[in-house]
Amino acid sequence: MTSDLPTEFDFVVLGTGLPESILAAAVSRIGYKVLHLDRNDHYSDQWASFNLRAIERFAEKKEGKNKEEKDYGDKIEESETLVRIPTADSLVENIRVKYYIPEYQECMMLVEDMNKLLAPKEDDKNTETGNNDDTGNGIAKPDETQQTAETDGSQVGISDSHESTKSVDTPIPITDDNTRNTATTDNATTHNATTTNNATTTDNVGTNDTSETSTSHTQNSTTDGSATEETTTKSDQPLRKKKKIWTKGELQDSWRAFNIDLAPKLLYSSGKMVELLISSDVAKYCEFRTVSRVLTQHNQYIEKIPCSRADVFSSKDVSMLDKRKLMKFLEWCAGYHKNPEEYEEYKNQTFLEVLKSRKLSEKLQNIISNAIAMVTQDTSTEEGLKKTQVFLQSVGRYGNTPFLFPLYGSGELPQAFCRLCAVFGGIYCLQMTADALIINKENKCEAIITSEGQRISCKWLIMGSSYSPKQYITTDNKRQLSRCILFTDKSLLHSESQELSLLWVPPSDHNIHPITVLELPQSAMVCPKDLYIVHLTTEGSGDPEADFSPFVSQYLSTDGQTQNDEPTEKPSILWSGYFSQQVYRVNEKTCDVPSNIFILDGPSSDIHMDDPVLQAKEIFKHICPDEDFLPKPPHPDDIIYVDETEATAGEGESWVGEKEEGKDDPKNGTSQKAEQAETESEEKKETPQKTLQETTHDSDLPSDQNIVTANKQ
Amino acid sequence: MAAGGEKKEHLYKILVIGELGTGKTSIIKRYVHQFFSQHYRATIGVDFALKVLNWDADTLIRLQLWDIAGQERFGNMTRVYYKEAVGAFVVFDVTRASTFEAVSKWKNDLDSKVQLPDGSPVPCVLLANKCDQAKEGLVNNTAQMDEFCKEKGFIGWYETSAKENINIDEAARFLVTKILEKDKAMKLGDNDHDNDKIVIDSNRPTGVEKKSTCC
Repeated sequence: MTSDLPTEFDFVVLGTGLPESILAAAVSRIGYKVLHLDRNDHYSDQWASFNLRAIERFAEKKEGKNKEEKDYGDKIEESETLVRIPTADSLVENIRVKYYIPEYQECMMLVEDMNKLLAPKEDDKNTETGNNDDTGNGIAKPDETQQTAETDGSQVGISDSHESTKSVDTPIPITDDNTRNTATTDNATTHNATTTNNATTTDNVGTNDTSETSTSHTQNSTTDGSATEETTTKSDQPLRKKKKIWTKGELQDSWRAFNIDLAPKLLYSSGKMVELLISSDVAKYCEFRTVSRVLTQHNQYIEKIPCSRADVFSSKDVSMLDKRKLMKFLEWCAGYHKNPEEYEEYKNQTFLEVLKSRKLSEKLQNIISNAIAMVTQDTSTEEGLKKTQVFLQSVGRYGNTPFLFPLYGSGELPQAFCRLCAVFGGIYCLQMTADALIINKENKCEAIITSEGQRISCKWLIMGSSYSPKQYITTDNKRQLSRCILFTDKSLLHSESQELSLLWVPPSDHNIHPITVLELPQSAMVCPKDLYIVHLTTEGSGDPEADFSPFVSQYLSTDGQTQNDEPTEKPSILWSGYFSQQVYRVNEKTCDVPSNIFILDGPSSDIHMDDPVLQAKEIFKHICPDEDFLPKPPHPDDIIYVDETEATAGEGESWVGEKEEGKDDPKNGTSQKAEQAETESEEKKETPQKTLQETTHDSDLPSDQNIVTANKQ
Repeated sequence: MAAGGEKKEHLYKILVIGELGTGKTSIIKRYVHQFFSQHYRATIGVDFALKVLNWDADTLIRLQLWDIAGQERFGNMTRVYYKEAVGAFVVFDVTRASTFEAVSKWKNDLDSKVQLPDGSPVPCVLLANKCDQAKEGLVNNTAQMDEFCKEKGFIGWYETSAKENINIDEAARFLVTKILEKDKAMKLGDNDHDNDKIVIDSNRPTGVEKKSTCC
């Protein structure tokens, strides 16, 4: 299918991760010919957002396969050498996916009926009124029934119950000792225990224990038969608010509604990424939601911190005196860039030392260091000040917190830049990579050989670190991220509305490195209703489950869902995915990387996306020092169509004719009219003001506005 | 969102997909710019073409026709391309049977990447383009074509010619009619009035003043 690829490009880009895509768009935008490849069948490489099916498939696929190396002797000349590209992405490792809920509702019914039989008395206490049209929602449990089962890995548990009010202040998962049940499923069938309308228990169905259960099932069906449901739904005591109880089957049925980020990121509202989205107009492809809460951990509790001036002043938790001190300190931080010399005396101190010297209360110090600046013991004053500053500058720009989250997941952003690259003629092939690079005797990359065996020459080669031949990466700089993705049934901190929350957990006895926690609701377009996705990220040890287990056991329940909807009850985990991600930073000085090859970083543990922007821009400026970095493209309406016979035949799809013309001066790549338009919009953007986008538009605005509206449908 | 209060405005994103050289860009040019040429200067830097329709006395429709950009050749479109589309044309070239064979692939790809808010497939019309030239294959048999469309989930098909301006307006009108029906049923064009959704907007300086320092 790809035999008709041109054999010459200005740029070949390997990998559609974020910095690669930004750079590809930037060079395509000024007229260079770009071939952008990705070995995966999806965009965004390690920055991708997957739906549920895709991430489960991804987890399976990672079971490694290495292709054998082909011989390309006939493709290279004598003076050239062949440098192999790793065939498989080895950067994402140890993926483990697990469900904590039963497979089907039907089985739960059976179990329920059975339990009712076994312990009919207990029902009264624990049932719920009303009919339940959805998955059933009562869980209650006969006190005496205690069963535990261990089995083959996929655990389905239900803890429960009527007496769960205790919880929370203990860092132990909530369970009633005497009612605790753990059931296990082997993805098979019926007997997976659990929840439903009323009485529930779990029975365990391990491979080793079948006799008891099967008898119960028989009993059950003979006695109650089909009538059970009705009889059980009437109940004696209206329980708490109705809460959605999930099954594995339901989660899987909603697979499309998920956008699960491999590398969840936020944007500082005044950060580099937002500025780039505005200046390049790539913003038109994306929508955002503000992070609605910044949380912090205080005395083992999770609390919301006041971010805006108004928040601070209305906060009852902060005394008047503290408020004044806080404002004063933050103003001092905000003034840093104006008079850096005033801060000279603190240069040799860490940010935390400076903070301590300000006599702020312990609580305020916690807020500043863990929620605003997000600094550790080692952070220098300068870095801490800078981080505080970008936080302060970003607050209030779009919302009460400084952060934006891209709807449909962070994986949207690389794709938005890829789209821009394509619109300016970049050619995209997924599931295709370079098998090898051809290096000439001046140690420059001459060409690549694609995975289909075609030799394609290029002037520059850009690649994500997962594509880099091992000799170009210094292993000293190798680091590792631990990632954990959880689906939970409620927020870490109860709220009446759907909140998008950020929590930064400082290093402690439990975790050497800080943990970033991002909790996303349905309104972020990443999951179905009645569900949250919690992303945990830390620099890790290679054993992600161990890295997160203190946090998970403190704030979440791994015992499956309960019917209980008390605000004090911990969220239950319904699904988890753990993996590690290798991080390479390339130190070009110590490696013999050809000067026309640029290797870009994968996602780091940073929560923001500013570094990829800076990295892409730096390389761009290195390659084309006199060009604009992603200037605003012209409006569709400002493009004129010219009938020119020298253009290649067929449709406008062929960009080749256009590009040749612009070869010497790539800027000619766009028509003159388009350039005028650029200048105009350049003027317009003088003050790049942004605002909450309202639903009304002036109809005479350029069609840009329509993109905006279209995106809102 | 209606400007004068009375007149209803709709904005619809429509995708135009199909194999290389089937005439997608020509169709868009003909429809939007009333213009045909054998040769186009490349449409570098354009996301979509905009067509404004005065549908009836009460309705104004803005159609965004999204052509596929450089990535199209290999069918690897970004989500940005598919996102929130409410209708589509799949185009093939009647003179080349191979482009017809690819129609199912495009339709499947479309259905897997985008749905209407209620989960149903976006209305899609099949265009047998270049019908002013000698036809090859199934397209000669109307009954079979009807059957094919039914089976593959196309709401209809038209023989079109961008060159001779045949049936393009008709096909578009048909698709828009279907979209309007869908819209009525599920309020497609309606923004969900979700004021929390943020679109970073560069062009309009607004009255909202930025507060530089927060606390």
